[in-house]
Amino acid sequence: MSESDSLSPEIARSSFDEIIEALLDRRSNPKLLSPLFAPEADWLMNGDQASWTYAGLRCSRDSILAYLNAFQVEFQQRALRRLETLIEGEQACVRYEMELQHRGTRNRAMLQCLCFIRLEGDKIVEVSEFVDSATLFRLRESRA
Amino acid sequence: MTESGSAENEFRAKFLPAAGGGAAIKSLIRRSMELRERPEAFIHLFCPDAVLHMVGDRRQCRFYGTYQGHDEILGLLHDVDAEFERRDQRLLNAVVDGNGFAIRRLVEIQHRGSSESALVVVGHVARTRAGLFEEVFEYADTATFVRLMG
Repeated sequence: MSESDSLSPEIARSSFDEIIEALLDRRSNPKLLSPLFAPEADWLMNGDQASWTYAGLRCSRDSILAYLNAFQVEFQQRALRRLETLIEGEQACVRYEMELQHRGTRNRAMLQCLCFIRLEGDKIVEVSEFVDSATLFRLRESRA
Repeated sequence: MTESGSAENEFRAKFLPAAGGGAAIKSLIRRSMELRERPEAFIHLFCPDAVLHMVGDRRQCRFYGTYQGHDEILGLLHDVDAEFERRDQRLLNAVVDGNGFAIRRLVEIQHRGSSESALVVVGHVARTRAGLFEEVFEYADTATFVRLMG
């Protein structure tokens, strides 16, 4: 995205950081996430769609919340720690680690994750998240 | 995906003129994309003691893990290149902040053995020192590589 495309070049770093904090804090409780997103927001979970059905693009706030709800039904988020945050204008990238437990198999893993976020005004319009799908898939297996 | 010439134009449209103090980092991003096909030149974009973290599941794919110093990183580059060809790549976005940056690239890769190919989005976070990579985290989904490797 070029700088001239920016609709919110003046957002304060501290305000953006608060939005990031809220997004990560509420990730395990999707119904609280709704006010953070623009109605037309996109969420891309990067991964291999051929082997992992969660991977792919969700368009619209409602489909994002449905996806995150489905994810929480299968995986319990036991811990999340932000490791690094980069912010430039209306874009940010967050590196974090997340401990997940599969609710069926009870298998656990600590995942190193990455999330790109773009705002328009004070609303999130785009998220691109990297959560390793092979690791998630392994948690489903009876012997991880 | 674009031809390499139009990809370069696209890159320039996004990054030139470079804004403020991020110019050196944006130049490093551009050079890294230009030189990746030449590992012996590409490696000199890294500090001698640089660390590269390939984030993924090493139990399923040997490429994942942590590599430190020119020899280990160059070994990884040769190992990956022996198995995969990058047919095209496009920079999707970049976030530059202080001496760090993050980028997303859309890459078309093909396994040299199976000829299977895939479009993958790869994420990078990097810290720089003196205009070189000091620490890099690469996020390339394990499952895609495992599937292509058969």
